[in-house]
Amino acid sequence: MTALGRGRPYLYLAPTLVVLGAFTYLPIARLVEMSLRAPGLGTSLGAWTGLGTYATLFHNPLFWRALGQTCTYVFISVPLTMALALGLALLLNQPLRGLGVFRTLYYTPVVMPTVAVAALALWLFNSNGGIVNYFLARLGVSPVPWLVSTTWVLPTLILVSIWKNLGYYMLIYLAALQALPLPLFDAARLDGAGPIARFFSITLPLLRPTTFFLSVVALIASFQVFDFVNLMTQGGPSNASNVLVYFAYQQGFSYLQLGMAAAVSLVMFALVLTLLGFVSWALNR
Amino acid sequence: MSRRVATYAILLLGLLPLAFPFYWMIVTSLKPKREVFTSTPEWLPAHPAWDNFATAWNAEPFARFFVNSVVVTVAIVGLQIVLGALAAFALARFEFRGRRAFFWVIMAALIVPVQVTFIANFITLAHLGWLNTYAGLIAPYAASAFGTFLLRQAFLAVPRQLEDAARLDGCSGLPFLWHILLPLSRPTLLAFALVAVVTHWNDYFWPLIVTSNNSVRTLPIGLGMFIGQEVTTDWNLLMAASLFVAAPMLLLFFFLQRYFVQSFLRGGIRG
Amino acid sequence: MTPPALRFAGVGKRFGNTRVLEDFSLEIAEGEFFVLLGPSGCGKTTILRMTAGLESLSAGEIFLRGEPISRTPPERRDIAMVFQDYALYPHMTVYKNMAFGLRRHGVPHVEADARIRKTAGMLAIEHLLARRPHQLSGGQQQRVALGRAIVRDPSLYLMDEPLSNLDAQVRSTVRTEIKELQRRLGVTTLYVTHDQLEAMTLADRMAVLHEGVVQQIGPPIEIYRKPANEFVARFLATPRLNVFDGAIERDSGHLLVRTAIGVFRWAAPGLGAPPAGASVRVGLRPEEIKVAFASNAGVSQFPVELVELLGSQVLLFSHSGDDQLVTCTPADAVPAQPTSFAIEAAGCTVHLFDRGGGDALGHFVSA
Repeated sequence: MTALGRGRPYLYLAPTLVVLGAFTYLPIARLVEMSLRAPGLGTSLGAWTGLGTYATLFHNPLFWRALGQTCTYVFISVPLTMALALGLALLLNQPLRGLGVFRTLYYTPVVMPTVAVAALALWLFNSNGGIVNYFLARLGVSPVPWLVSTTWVLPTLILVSIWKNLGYYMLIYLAALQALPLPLFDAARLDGAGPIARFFSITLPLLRPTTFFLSVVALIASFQVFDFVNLMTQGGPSNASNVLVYFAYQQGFSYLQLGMAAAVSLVMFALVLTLLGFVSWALNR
Repeated sequence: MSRRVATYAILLLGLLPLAFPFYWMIVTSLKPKREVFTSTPEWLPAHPAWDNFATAWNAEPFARFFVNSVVVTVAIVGLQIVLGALAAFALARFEFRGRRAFFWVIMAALIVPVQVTFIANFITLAHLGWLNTYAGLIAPYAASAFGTFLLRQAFLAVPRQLEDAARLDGCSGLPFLWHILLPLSRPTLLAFALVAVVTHWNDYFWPLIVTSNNSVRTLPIGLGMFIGQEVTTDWNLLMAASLFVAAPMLLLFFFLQRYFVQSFLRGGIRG
Repeated sequence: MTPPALRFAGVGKRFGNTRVLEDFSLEIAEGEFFVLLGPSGCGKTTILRMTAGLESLSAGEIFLRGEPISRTPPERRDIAMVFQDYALYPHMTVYKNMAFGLRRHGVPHVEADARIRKTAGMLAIEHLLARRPHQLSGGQQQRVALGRAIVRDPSLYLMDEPLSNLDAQVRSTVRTEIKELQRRLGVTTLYVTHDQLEAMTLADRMAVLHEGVVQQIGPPIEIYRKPANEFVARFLATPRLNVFDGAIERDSGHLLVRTAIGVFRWAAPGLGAPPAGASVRVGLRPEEIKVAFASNAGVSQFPVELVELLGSQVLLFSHSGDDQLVTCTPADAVPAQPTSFAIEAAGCTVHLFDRGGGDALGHFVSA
């Protein structure tokens, strides 16, 4: 094996490593640098300010609001979507005719662009002419100010994201369910376990790796909320739907506070890592 | 028996809130302006306005956006497959120092979302002069950790004896990747390509960051701009635009749904 | 003087700290069908893989037609190999499977096509050329694997237990075909197996290996008649070798070997024969024991514990003390329900082994 031959695997890995290094890992280092320096002219950086940016950030009540709203959004939408997806997958995991059609239909929103979903949601939940309020009126419920109320805006966004992502998680759970060994369930039935008992004692524990995987996926995917916020609410009304990623975007592109945007990005990243660590601990014990 | 009925009932019930928005989108897109806001909803357009689509299409340079989307998506997915195949080849079929480390370094990229790194990448692109260029839209996505992972799984599944036989047939290294590994990984390649195409065609966030010029804007951005203009006024045009922006992916999914679903059932998922 | 087709000179192989092969030397002549026989883990497959270039050598050198090849990559060694699991390319047709190696080695299309069709004809697989491997039966896949090797027209064939995944019936048919093909094509072949029947029927010469060490090399019949040690004798006996302790006595010019099952007389012992008083191990193959069924008083009878009918032969299982005793007799010489049998010492083929190391001390037919 010549020296060139021995170097081949490194050569093949190089392009991938270069791209990931430049656009995934280097940015993290850059963000740290950016958050520790004052903004300069245009896109260049100014003097080192130490942790001053962070101090300003943590004194900004809007930051805490955005953090809180981000947590609300994540802690509700992720578990809720996964639970519904699991339920759906359980239903679809039966040898019945036509379930393939349902599977396809439930998955369809996943391939829609977020922009189209945003446009659609804006129309459906519109205060003027929106069909959802019409249905509510028919049921005797007074119209809900979905996207214009500070109390309703987050739930609406959660609803929209569940609508869009349900099919994806459902499919993954379905694949996992179909891979579960059948003899295990037969044995459980002979042992006297009813459907509920079988679900909690066998299905759920065996699905743990999948649940872990999906939690990670869902956590990363929750950043997608930016699209909805940017297109549907612009953080409003009155910053009630401002989430960290939108806040960072505003800082960077509306207020040109690059250092602040970097700081927020790093806080977000720290949040993600913490949550991942927690999920990993909770599900991999 | 009752279990069967209950299952279908629940599934149909669940399908209503899922499917209704699509129906409403299609119906609205065909309504002339005056039928959009009526005291009682019209479930079908009385006078379908097919020219809504043309009107919406011409309201923005959607043709340009469409071309951009195609170029960018094809380039990204193509690069991801090439880079991913090479990296997966190295990781799956070679023994070398640091192999495990490199694998985990690549996998770690999966938990760094673009929404965290965007501001730094923006600066990087600005310094490179790649803002508002195809390069800026494509480069950060040229490598896919997910694609590398899937292809590595697929390559690992090819038996050693096959590689031995190929060596004795005079085929090793890159020819082996091309003649044997890739053809045998076709299902994985296809499944990954589909997911990647949908993901990047639908991408709104990164093009928003990188582009400020109609010459490189992609379809989702175009639609986003359209939302800004048409909200509270021409919902029918907006729905029409949403439909033709979503249509390519919907059609792709509709015709190739088998391969979408396969990508999950193929077990590339269980970690 | 022409160099041998394949020569191993002091070849050794180590995996980490485990020595798998030690000082292996062997010469194989041009056109010879040579079999490496031994149990799993004896190193035979390692030798094959080193010859192919799929494994590196820890020591020694391998020469193909006089040229050292250990530094040549497998892609350029002019060797073709038939694998145990066939290793056919699943995504290619049979034709393409056979064409692949040729094309990789630069054989032009027209010539490749001619060679493929000729080989396919030889193996009676012309009608399968457009099919994919998964559409073929095991035996057909094996033929395609053979065809892929033959079409390359190499200097050497390597075969790694190619019959082990086949059904018993198909196995014997393909075995015969391999023998005929090799004879017809005259290409040197190195064949690896753990099945002694395969080795005996296929080999021009064979080597028996045990834990990385060659036990004996020679034509099958010689190894069968005169196993070099107890291991070789055991390995080449079905269903098992009968082994007993024996004591040597001298009686005028003859040697007497006294065992629990009888006394065997060696009429013409040579100079290397064990001295009187020595204790030895006595090996008798089931088919080399003379069995009698008339009940003569005074002759020790062995009670029949189990009968296995093999069709033309019958296996009788018994015991002598703690040692199991198995005999193999033509079926028409065995009564319908045998209850016991006696052993006629005269006419048995006896193999003597040293008690300590197991080396053979002599082989004779008892008089």
